[in-house]
Amino acid sequence: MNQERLTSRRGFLKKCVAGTAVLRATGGIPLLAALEQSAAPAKSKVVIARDAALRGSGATVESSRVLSLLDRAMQTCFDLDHPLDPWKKLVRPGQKVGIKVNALGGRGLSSDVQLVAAICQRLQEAGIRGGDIVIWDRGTDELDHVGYHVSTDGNRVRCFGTDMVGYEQQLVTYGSVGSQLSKILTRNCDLLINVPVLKDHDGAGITAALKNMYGVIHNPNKYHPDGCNPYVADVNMLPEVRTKTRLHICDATTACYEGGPGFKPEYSWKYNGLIVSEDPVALDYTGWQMIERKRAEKKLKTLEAEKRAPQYIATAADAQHRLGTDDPKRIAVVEV
Amino acid sequence: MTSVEDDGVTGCGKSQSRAGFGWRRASALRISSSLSSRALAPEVPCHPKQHSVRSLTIRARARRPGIIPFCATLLIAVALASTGCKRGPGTEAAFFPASNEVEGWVTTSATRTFAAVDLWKYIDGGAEKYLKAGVQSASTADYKFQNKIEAVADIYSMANAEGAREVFDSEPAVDAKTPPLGDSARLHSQSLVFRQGPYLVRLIAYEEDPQAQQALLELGHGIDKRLPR
Repeated sequence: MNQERLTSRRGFLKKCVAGTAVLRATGGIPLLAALEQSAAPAKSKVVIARDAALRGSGATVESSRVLSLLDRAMQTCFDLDHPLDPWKKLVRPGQKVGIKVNALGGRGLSSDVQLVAAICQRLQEAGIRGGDIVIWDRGTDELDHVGYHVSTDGNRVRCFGTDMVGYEQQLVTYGSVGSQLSKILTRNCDLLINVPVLKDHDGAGITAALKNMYGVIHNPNKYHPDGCNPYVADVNMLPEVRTKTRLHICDATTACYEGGPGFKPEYSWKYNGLIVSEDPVALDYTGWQMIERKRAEKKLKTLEAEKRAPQYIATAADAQHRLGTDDPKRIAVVEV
Repeated sequence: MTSVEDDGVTGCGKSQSRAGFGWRRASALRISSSLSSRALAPEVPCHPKQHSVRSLTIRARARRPGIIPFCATLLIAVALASTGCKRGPGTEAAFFPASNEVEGWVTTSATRTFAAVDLWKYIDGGAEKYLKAGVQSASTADYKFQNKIEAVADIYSMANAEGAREVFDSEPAVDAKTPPLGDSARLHSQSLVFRQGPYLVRLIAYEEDPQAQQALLELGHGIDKRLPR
């Protein structure tokens, strides 16, 4: 059976090669060019969804409004009409879904608890069992400190840090990186939804989707020299990181344009938005531009002028990594 | 596929949200310290007894007189380096005012101290700037003002006053007031940063409140009084 399939596949490839040769020989070049053009990669869509009334009359994000905002962003990102449709496209019942948040910035600048609750709600409505969802980051204390309810109860959404389960013994490598991966990623996630926070970063320039993956390895402190370049890109190339990460929902409800990654209220602003994309490089590039615009508004130097432009974004897009695109001509920013 | 076993730490099934699980409330059960990893555990401060026990052990075991000072110096140096303490035992905790020492402010956590080598565990990504400026250790404690404004106080102990100045001057004074505090200070609606000698102090309020700015300034003065001159 396998042999037949192999033979058939070989035969098909032979016919393709032969067909191409005939097309070229018979002046079919314009047809090929048209085919190549139609096969050109589509633009990476980056959705920016905002709600000026996200916090109502208070200072914290309202759960009902953030759910609506999430729906708007997801439906636009996936071009689907019903709030549940994008989630059904993303996940299948029975899968274990990890939500990698960012709790390192401490209170004030971590993945918003209400936003993550909204994601969990939609995942469950799409058929994922509560116990198959795990909200996680590096440290359990950090999650607890920023307001997540730490839980390991397998009957409902779980939330804990890698410190509870540890890292795999085996070292995985790519390029400049050699690290052990969180067992939450390797053993508790079939797929990963990345929920970073849009922040200025003292060393890396900015941090959003790509840099958030430093939270899945045991030795992120080793990878901060040289603006985290090429380390950020290399960490995202680690096979389990690359293959399992499906979606990036960047929390820009409160963002930071200077002094990050820790929370400094004097350099933060309430953007009241989400940035959603399947392309982490395009998302990071877009987030970088947003931070630059805010810095210009505050009359601060550009990150380039401060010699801390996020070079790792270009590295992530280069021929060795191909994690996405940083070419603005190939990024479709959709604001809703 | 393996999954994490329920170890009974949840215990908080009362506040179920629509998403099917309970989010932490202010009064919710805090996780047990036994669940924290060693990697994230607070840095162990230098303790006077720790050093004296080591010294006594050295005295008891060393036979040749010439080797005693050498071993003692070596081991104490190793002990100090491993704990990251540079200014004597318990110094950092003493910089933080006790509850109600500054009117309206109460402490809501123990003081945690991180040696320079472990600073990334507290401010991963933000540690480089402090390391370049010669940070020796960082201590942090949580506070609450009049039961409504939560805040955090961080005290960075640098090698010298120039290090504190370097970090302070690296941060832009966007819309800041400059109250007379320490060697130099910047005050915002939700934060206060000042330096005094080799110390850089950062206070952050998590809630926006008309009282926050003045309250932070008062807490800042409370800390400033405790810093060595």
